[in-house]
Amino acid sequence: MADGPLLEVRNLKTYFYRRGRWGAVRSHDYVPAVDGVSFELREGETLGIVGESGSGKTTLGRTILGLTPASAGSVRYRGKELVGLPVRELREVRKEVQMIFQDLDAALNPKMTVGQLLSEALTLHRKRDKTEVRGRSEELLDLVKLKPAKLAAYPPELSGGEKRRVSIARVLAVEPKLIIADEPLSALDVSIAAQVANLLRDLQERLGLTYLFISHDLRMVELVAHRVIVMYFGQVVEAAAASRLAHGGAHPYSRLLWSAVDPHGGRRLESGVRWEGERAEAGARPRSGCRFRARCGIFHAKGEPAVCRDPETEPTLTEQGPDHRAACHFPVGSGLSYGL
Amino acid sequence: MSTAPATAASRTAATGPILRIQDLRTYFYLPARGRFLKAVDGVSLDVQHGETLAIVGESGSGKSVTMLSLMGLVTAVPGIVDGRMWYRPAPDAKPVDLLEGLGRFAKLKLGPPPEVHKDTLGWHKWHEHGMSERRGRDFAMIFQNPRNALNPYMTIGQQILEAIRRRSPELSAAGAADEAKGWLGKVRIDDPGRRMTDYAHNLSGGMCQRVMIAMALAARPTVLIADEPTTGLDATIQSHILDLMEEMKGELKTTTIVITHDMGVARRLADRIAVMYAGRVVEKGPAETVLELRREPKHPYTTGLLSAIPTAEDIEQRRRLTVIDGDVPDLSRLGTGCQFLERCAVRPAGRERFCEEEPPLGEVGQGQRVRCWRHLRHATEA
Repeated sequence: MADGPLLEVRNLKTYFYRRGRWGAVRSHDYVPAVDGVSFELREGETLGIVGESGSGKTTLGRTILGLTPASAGSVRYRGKELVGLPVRELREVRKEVQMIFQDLDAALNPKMTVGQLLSEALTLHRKRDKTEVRGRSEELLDLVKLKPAKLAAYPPELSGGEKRRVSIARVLAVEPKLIIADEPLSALDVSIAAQVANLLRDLQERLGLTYLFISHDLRMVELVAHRVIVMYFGQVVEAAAASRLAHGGAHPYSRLLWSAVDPHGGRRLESGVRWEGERAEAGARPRSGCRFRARCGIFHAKGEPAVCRDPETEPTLTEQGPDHRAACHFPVGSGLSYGL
Repeated sequence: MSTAPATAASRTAATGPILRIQDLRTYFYLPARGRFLKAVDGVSLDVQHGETLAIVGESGSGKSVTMLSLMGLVTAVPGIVDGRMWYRPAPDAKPVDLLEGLGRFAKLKLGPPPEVHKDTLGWHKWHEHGMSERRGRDFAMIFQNPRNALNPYMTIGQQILEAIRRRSPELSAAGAADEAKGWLGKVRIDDPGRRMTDYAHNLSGGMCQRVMIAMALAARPTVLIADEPTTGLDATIQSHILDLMEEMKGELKTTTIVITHDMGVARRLADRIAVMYAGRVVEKGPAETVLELRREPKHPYTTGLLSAIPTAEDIEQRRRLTVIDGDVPDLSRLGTGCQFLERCAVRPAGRERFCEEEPPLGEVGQGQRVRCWRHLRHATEA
């Protein structure tokens, strides 16, 4: 088991069902937030998850941790199945798998000082006496580069960057192996986001952490992650090394995302993708066949081929090169797509 | 320029700037601490007709408060305590003094500690009289959080119509509605006719932002102020909004002031840039000069902001980003001397005695000014 992946996710599905008048689940009326996601995460690695808001990134993170129940599929942490595990045993697992939440103001109780917040996390899974808690708290603050004086501060007194550091310190308090970081850099100024990105990388080197790094900021994902999976409407449409995608992914959606990256930050790709954002927002998201087709330039350029619509031939992740898979019938650069 | 006496500035030639802010100071009082928070402390800015100025800096550097002061939207006490602001509606018009009469309501004795005597209520009444006329006509603002800035009880159609009616009351109801739909189409909202009857909560964040932009543009303001127009949006929508603003800039030639913490955004839109830190301008100049990382002279803060954006090489080599350590200072507790000293990476060893004194915003060439002793050395050594 030692050589196996740290985390293995197979065909994971999280559906949110609408409920009828008396609370009965309406089995055909659901939102497939996560719809058959599979990936592996090796120890010491950072896997980036990118996609627009609403693509299911956050739900995926929460489902792995059991905060949102999975509808189907499997999540294995060190070979141990987490889906369907009773809460008591899940809590054991959460000693090693922790989550950094996106919303800082919701994650840090405003009526507790930083010291109280840290001691709560420190004593959650382990008995420690007061002096030990105090000492560990100061170590943790030092680890995230905050001054010990901040122990007495309340979250509203802190800046965005400081709050983020406290939330990271709180997660580190339980000495996790795997951290699921949900948009840890959003809502921070660019300059502060860069500080936190550096911090996350330093911590990884020093403590041998493994990250699942959820973000919509592609520049930061490229910098922090080793491998990236691109999600669209609950599904993985492309998986590759971070640098591979920056030079032009095989899936038109990846190309759309990267075409939006600040051109002066490096390059701007010819995306060959029509801007059809509104249409997707308006709810015209297909539930079968290729989910992306309404926004896809290739689909429209090819005269809306039936293979993209057919529920029988949904695109699956196929090999595009070493450690590079994409789910598209006409992947860019394969000769099947038009001069892209 | 900023040191020119007030009378000279108001008498400048016909081609003067559309906006001139001089030595603006906006303070807030913190009763629990018994201190003033100096959100804006002596900011001077000129904006020319038709140009786009980007005000760049981290949160808490005073960018938004500077613009809220301009809009007359600072409601906290004591608010604007000192400074002058001129606005010239047309290139050949006479400048209007936006802060006329402030001296009668506010007396400031610069500290330390500063002493402020201000009849805030009296001032607001006086000031609001003039400003309510200008808001949404001369000045329109795209606010930072579009969902909060839109009225939840009004359909977006009503809100855009309000802006249009205000500008041209003579328009017929049908004509105004057509124009409103036209604006929604311009910001690429699908099916504007149907969307007109939607409420803010029916829209996604990106759509709210576009509606805000449509509202601001529909007012056809002389000066458009955009406060963090892309913060918190997906990259795809972000780039779309920036495209849209670029397009509008070309089409309508509106004078625009963009507030942002992202040098990438400033790069896309700005002709000139003012970098703010701790309530003051630390560097200003043409965009191409300020944004070029390797071009000296430059304020170390600007350098820091620029290098926080990963470049292609950074990513290629998985380099650590060079960052500015620390956080913005507490604006209620500013000391004397250079405000950036604590975070300064280039503080020259032998020149620290200069840094004990606050550097002026000195001219360093071609319209560029930097508030750093490193570049003003000759001035002091002389």
